[in-house]
Amino acid sequence: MTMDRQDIEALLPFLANGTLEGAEKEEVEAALAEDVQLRTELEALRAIRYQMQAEEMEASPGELGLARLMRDIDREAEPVAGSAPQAENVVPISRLRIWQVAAALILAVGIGQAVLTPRGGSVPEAPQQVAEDSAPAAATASREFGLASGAPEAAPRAAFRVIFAADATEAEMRALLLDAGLEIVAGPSAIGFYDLAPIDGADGIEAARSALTDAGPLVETLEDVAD
Amino acid sequence: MPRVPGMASDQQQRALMGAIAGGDKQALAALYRALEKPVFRFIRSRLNDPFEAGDILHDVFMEVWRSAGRFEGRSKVQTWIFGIAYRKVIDAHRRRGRLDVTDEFPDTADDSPDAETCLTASEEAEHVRHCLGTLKDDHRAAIAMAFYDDMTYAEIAEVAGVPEGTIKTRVFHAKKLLMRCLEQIMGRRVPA
Repeated sequence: MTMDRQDIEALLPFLANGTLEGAEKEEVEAALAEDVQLRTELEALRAIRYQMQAEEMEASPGELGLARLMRDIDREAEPVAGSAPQAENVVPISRLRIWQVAAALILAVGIGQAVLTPRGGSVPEAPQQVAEDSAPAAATASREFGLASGAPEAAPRAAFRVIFAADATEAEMRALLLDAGLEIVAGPSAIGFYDLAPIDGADGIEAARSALTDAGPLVETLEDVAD
Repeated sequence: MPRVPGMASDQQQRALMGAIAGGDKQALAALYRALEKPVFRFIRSRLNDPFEAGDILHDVFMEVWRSAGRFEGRSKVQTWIFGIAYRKVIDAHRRRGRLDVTDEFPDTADDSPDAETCLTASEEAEHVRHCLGTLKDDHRAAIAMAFYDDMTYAEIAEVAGVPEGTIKTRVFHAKKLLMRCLEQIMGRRVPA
């Protein structure tokens, strides 16, 4: 095979990175021996490669990323069952994935338990036992949806419950929350529900609702959280 | 491809893939630890947002978990995973409607050989990074795989899902653009 100059130049980066082999390598090296311009270009390419590889890479997600990965794999493996009722302020059920629909039911069980639970008191034994016996996954999800602080009485009151789009990035979510003046007070639940509270209290609710409504496909479902 | 400390060989990675296909989470953790850094750097080289790059890295390994059973072993494990990352970054660009930065290069090649003096100062790492950022995504991806990860053009073609000739062409143009950019920034001549 005889290469023209453009072929030789196209292969120079692969001579620079040491992956060129066989007849191609021999032919490129033969061309280099006769052409100072090619040799100079090869040195420049090696220098660029050196600079790129020597550059200190910023911190990757590392072990935190691995923990997130394991968490999501566990969540994905959790059994889900049943179906969810559709409210007017929830997106059509056809847009939701099966696991999201099932999760809505799980969350409803959790909310029901919370409503039945006197503040600072204990859950009536019998209803809780029935719920946990009939839906252990639901009970698990309900517990996971609790606040990380472990002190729900001190947390701001949630005004909205949302599911972000499955492909929403952390950066997109962060930008939206900052724009809407919201903070996450609970979540994500096992299936992705977040409870959001306006940073400015009740004064910020309407503006926050507008921002969430205007967020388009980034917010997959939006519900008001009743007092 | 260059080895980083703790990076398993391709043979070891294949064994891990088999275990992952069988539902072994510890095998996934081992593969993640072996490949997380090069995959993240590859994604990051094509995205300006480190948070988004982290999200995509997460998505890549979620797909590895779900799809390990479909790995047929016809390529290196790393090449297969880079292919997933390659497509996910393209999807991210499409979602944003992002436009490529540079599509053409000025047809004013200068044959003056003066390159060896152009890439010696410490500040040049910043110039290289800047100039990489001006390349369109498929050019930048090809150069990143060739120079960050020392991949062959056949491996790059497999990752990108295009013929080998296309990769040679992309690298050829990317190299020209990169050198032109460096020449303009540094006020010196680099062969084009």
